[in-house]
This record gives sequence, C-alpha cells and structure tokens, in this order.
Amino acid sequence: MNDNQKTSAVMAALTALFAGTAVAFWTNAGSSGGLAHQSFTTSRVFTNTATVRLSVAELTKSGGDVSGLDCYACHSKDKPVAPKFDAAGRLIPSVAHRDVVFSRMNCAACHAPEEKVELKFDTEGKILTPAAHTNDVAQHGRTIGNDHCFNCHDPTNLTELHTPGGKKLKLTESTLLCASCHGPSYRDWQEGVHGRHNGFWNTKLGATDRKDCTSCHDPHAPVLPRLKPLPPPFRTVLKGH
Amino acid sequence: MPANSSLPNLAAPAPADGGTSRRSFLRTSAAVASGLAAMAASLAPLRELSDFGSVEEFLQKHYKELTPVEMEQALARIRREVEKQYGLRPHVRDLRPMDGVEFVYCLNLTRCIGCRKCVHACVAENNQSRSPEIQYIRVLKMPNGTFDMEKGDHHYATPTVPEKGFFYMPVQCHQCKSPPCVKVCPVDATWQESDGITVIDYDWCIGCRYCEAACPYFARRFNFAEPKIPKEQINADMAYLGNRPRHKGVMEKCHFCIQRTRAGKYPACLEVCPTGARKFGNILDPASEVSQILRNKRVFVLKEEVGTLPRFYYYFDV
Repeated sequence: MNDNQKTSAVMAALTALFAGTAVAFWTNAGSSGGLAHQSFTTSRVFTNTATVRLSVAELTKSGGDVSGLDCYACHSKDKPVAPKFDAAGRLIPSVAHRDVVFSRMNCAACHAPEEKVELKFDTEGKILTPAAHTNDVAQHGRTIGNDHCFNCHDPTNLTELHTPGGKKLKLTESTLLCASCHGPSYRDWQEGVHGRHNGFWNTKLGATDRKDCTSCHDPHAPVLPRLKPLPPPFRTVLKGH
Repeated sequence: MPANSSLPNLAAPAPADGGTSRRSFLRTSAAVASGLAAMAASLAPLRELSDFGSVEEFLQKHYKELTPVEMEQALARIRREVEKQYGLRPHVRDLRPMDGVEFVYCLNLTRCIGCRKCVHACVAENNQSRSPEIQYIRVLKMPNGTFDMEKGDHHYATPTVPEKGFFYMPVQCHQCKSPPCVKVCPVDATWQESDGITVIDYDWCIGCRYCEAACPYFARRFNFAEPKIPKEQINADMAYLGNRPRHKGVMEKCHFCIQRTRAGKYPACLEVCPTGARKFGNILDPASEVSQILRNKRVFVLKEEVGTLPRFYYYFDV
C-alpha cells in the first residue's frame, strides 16, 4: 500500500466516522426511554377551586339560577305537603326533588369542561344514577334517622327553614340551622378549623371567602361523595423497590 | 522526486510518471471536503447547547448580596428569558417576608380523602416540569393502625377514594426550623427566611443533590432534564424564590407558594382541597386558623425523633 492509498483509506474512515456520528445525533439514537413519558395532565378541572356544591347563599350572591328553589312554583300554598315513606320508614324522594338536588351540584368541580357526560338508562328508561351522584334526598343522619323534611323545612312556608327550637331562618341562613344540631362542627367552622377558606389569609390585603356548610355538604345527604383520584405520579422505579 | 510521491505540487507542472494528476487532485479534494462536511454535521448539536445560560446569569451575585438595582436587572433578565422561551410576559417579583409573620401548615388526616387535587394544583401553580414529571406533594395511602412509612403507597389508582381501611397522608416540604437540607448545602444556595420558608436560589444552586439526600421527608426534587411545560399552561404570576421556571440541573421543592402567600393569599394546594383538610396561616397571629388548631387539636409532626422541628403539622378531628 503506498502513501496515496493510505491517505485515502484514513480519509474514508474519518468521513464514515463523522457521518455515522452525525446520523446518530440526528436520529437521537441511544437516548430512548429517558424522555419518552409525556403527561401534560394539567387541565382546568385539576385547579378549579370550586367546592363540590354551591350553597344557596352563593347562588343568590352570584345571581345564579335559583328557580329550582322556588318551592311554590310546583307546590300550592294552600295544600300541605305530605312526605311519603316506605315500609322501612325511609322517605321516598320524588323525581322532581332528585332533579333539584342535581341542579345544585357544581358539575365543573369534578367534570372537565370538554368531558362528555353520557347518561345511562335501565330497561324501563329510568336514569341510572352514578355512584358519585347518589346524593339523594333524605340521607341525613345515618344513626338517628333525621329523614323527615319538616325537621328542617318549615311545613307552612317551604321557602323558610326552622330549627328544632322553633327559630325561623331563611334558606340563605342555612349555616345557623346546621349549627343548631352540630355545635362542635359549627364552633370549629367559626374558628376556621372546619371547612375551607379561599382568597386571602391576610385580611388586610384582600377578602377571605369562607365557604358555607352547604358549599361542600348536601344538606339532604351530608356525607361527602367518594371521588375519583387524579392520576398517580409516573412510576419510574418498579414496584417493590 | 521519488516515484511514489502523492503530494500534489501545484507549482510544478504535472509529472507524466505517477505524480499528482488533475483527476487524483480532484478526488482527494472531494474526499477532504466531504470529510469536513461530515465532521461539521457531527458537531452540529453543539450549536444547540444552551445549558451554560447567559453571561449575565453566570456573573449574577448571590441572592442575599444583590442590591435593589441588581435585583431589578436579574428580574428583567428572567422576564426576557421567560418571554423568549414561553412567549408570554410574566409578572416576576421578588417578594420579601412580612414582619410578624411565621407560616405554619396544618393538615387534617381525618378529612384527607387522597384525591390528589393538591398535587396537580401545585404542579400548575408552580410551573413544575410536566415531562419529566416533577411533583412537590406525594400522597401516601397508609393502612389504618400504623405510621410505618414503608407501608405507604403513593402510586394507588383505585376507581374512587377514600378506600376503607386506609388513611391518606400527603407529604411535602415541612419547612423545618432546623432544616438538614440547609446545613448540607455547600454553596448556601438554600436557606431559611424569617417567615419560616426554606427557599432556593435557582441561579446559585450547583445541583449536587446533597439536600435531597439530607431531607428525611423526600421533599426535594432535581431537574434531571430541561423542564418541559406547555406554553399555554405557564403560570405568569412568578416570584424569584418561588415558581419562576427552573433550568436543568437545579433543585426545587415546595415553598408554600411564596408568590401567593407573601402576597397574602392562601397556597394553591389549600384552595383546591375538596374536604378542607388543609389549613395555612400565621402562627404569630393568635386568631389564625393554625393557632386555633395548635391550641385545640391533637397535632403531631412527622419523624419528630430526627429533630427537624417541622412547621407542617398533622392533626385529627377527635
């Protein structure tokens, strides 16, 4: 092999090496796996500060639709309302009231705006209620059976509430009604320990928005519904490690 | 001239007997040119190497040594960088601690249902990298009757929560009064401020990860890769010591949403909690929620025996 051929061979080898490196960089070879995980999960539903429900007071304040609370749009003032009970003594909720409870749920607190909600029906054409929406009327009081409408609602004036002590309250003052039985929770709520505050912790710099009882609890079924958890962190290490 | 010489002698006329002919010269030139082109192509990724940051950033002093003018310059640089990278003009501030304020966080374990809303609200508020994923809060699902952290699972994905027989314990930075992470930092890139928040100067951190190893709560996260955040999901309300975008190779962690809390607002994780399990406030104010809780509830701190004196309290409703 003479010098000429050697030079050509070295040049060819270097060219091949550089070309190979360039191709490797171009195709990003050898870096598979590291950044393959894509999870741009932050949608508005994750950061929505709304509570599960809207209280009547909040609805009224925001100028929202309170037509569902107009009891006398359906009930006649002259005709007393008679709740019906099944054999076990549990209240049979009317279909109309189930709707009222639904309409006061804050859909956006759980559902993403773009999410499509599909209703499911049974063979008779009735809506099958999803587990998260079983907040039906009269599931208040698991132990003592506080399931009578008129324990809280005033039978003579359905737009008003009354405490067991006989004190009359407006629908927007429902927190005081809750307090008439749930003393310790009310005390904690007053101190800010129970419930949630939004806005400013420093009241000199801005307003604190203290949520009412019914912002989170459905007064007819106060136990909070079970929720679907948001996605877990991406698992980088195998389980058991 | 030797007969086997291949060096082209451009000055001399081409020899007839095996010297450099016009053809061999062209061939060699073409080979050299293609070789150089291939080398240039293989070095091309160097042009995209931007890990070094700007000269300004490199020459910037430590946070505590910055004069107000220099801080203004640093904030202007951050605004420029964010605008270049994410295409929006951020509102970056350097918020200082308030007088007479010491922050404390309380978390009600009776109320927490493990829905992870806090985790994702935190990611959105604090501009954490979405890929690779960085999250400040880890929610542990623990079996009832034990505080053995090794029994905790933070990858649970049950259809609904809470699950019977378990309780849920979110863990994040505890903003300790005696922070081991601060002790081990070799360059003073992390320190405790007068309102109790342990902060990080992302421009001063060298990424040695000693603090991550020192933290008994697994609260610190390292940017192993350049953080990726979709442009439309950037939170433009930023603070220098808080949620301004970080670079590859620096540590980050929960800072009690410094950009919110030093402006008087509640942290993002608290504002989305559907059960009101999270409580935040000024412990020096006897009327604050956290003062009421520390006075009246049964509180405890995690890993009390390690002597970190956390400002993050867990409590029960009983």
